Amino acid sequence: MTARKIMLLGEIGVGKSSIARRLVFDRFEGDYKPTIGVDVYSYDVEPGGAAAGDSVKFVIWDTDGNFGEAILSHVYMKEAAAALIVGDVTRRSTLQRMVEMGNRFMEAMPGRYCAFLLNKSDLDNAATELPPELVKSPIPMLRTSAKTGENVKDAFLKAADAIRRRGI
Amino acid sequence: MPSSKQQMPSAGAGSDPSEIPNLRRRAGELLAARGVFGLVWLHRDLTVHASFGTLVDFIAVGQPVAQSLAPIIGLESEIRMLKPGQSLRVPSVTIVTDCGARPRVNLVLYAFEEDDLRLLVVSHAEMDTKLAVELSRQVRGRLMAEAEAAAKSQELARTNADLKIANSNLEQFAAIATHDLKAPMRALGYLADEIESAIAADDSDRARVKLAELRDQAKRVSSMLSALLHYSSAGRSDASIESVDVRELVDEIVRSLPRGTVEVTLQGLWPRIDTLAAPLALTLRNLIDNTIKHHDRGKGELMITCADASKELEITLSDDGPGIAPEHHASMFLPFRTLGSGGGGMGLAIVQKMLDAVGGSITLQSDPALKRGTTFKIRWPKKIAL
Repeated sequence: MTARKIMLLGEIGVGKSSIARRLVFDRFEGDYKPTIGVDVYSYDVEPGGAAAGDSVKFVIWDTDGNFGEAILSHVYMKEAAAALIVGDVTRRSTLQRMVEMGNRFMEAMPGRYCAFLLNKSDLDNAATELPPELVKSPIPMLRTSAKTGENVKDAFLKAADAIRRRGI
Repeated sequence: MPSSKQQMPSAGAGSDPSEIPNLRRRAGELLAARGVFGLVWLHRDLTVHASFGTLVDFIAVGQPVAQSLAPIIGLESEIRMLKPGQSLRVPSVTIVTDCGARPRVNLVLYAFEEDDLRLLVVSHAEMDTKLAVELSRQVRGRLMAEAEAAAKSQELARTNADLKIANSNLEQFAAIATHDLKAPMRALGYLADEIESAIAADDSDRARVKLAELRDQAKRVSSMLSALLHYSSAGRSDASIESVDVRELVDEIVRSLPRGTVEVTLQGLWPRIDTLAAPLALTLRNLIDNTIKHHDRGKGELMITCADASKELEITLSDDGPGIAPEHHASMFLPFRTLGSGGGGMGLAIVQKMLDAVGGSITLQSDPALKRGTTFKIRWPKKIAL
């Protein structure tokens, strides 16, 4: 089984850890526990469906949102195959920063897979109108909810498929 | 002797130099046993040669280190490339498994000149956790409060914009009430005077005629007020978005028209969209009614075409009526503007108001000097923000 490193990036409090925990343990904890430094999870992506080909082990680096864009030059990013950049659909500013982070990631690590996760889509005040820079961005996006599990697994399967196709 | 003097301070004053290696070992063992740090020696191929300390007791000897320590994955080539004296530091790492989170550690890898081994020092990084967690909580709290304030300010701006529109509607309403209703009200006054003078002259026939005119004028004022009320409430609806088959909607309007008044032909692509059904129906009904009311022949022809653009529907209504002279185009969408061939002059004003409310638009093409007929084209947005 091959192993690939996948980064969860994004502003503080957007739900990166909740997404990781939903994927790996299939559970959601409502109370907020900030990530200090990085939390590392392992997840085996089975072949079939969106992620065709051999099975792959994802080592998920759930990063501290306090780093901001400085994370991109941090040792944590070494040899990352992909980044899932998370924004909070109830906080427009996190979506705008998500786009900036996506652009910087593509510059810093060309050829790597990147996708936007618009998290907390289950909340009543989830934005229906997205910032124009996000709508125009070529980076693919998915609405996710760590609380309900909506699209969480799908986001990682898509990443696995893109990594396999690109031979990263 | 100089070398033993140099070693003295690290062992503590008064120690016997021969005891120092033992003291160091004991201190190291104590710290490793307490989980303050752990040591892992790695072969060049990054299999584990030996490990020391409870902090690394989960790392299996003889196996690739990455198998037990997932954060090493992706760093292998970097570790192999380390030259003597160099180190690679990965700070503040927590490994989370289904058994829970391991202690947060700093990982530092070293290479040495004397052998081909790499040394991985794993040290506890919990000292500043409470402060870091508290700081993160506070930062998150501030960001949440900022986002809430931004949302409230946006809501306030939206309310202000709505208020501005409401004020403008009120001004328009007042202008219509004072300007367009003034003439018929004045006429009522004149008729009352004339009835009075006819009674004074004992001319009951003339008084009866004027009374009939007074009744008609009062009816006209009443219908104008009803139309004005209808207009003022148009677009101010609590309707919700629903799935609408636009073709079915038009068919329904056409079926309800008086028989023999107009021959309607439908063309184009008619999609089903999620929209405000009642305002769309009112808009189309008023445009179709407009054709019938102002047609100068017994039976008119109306072609309605729908084009499904990416963000909007383009619905075109072309009739074979007398047309509207270009000088009247601009005023046609104002309340009580009619070319005098029937109708109260409110239909197109209501259409305009509906389109303004949903963010759509309307254009009018007609020039009777060139040819008969009028073409209205409306653009109805597919996505409507409520």
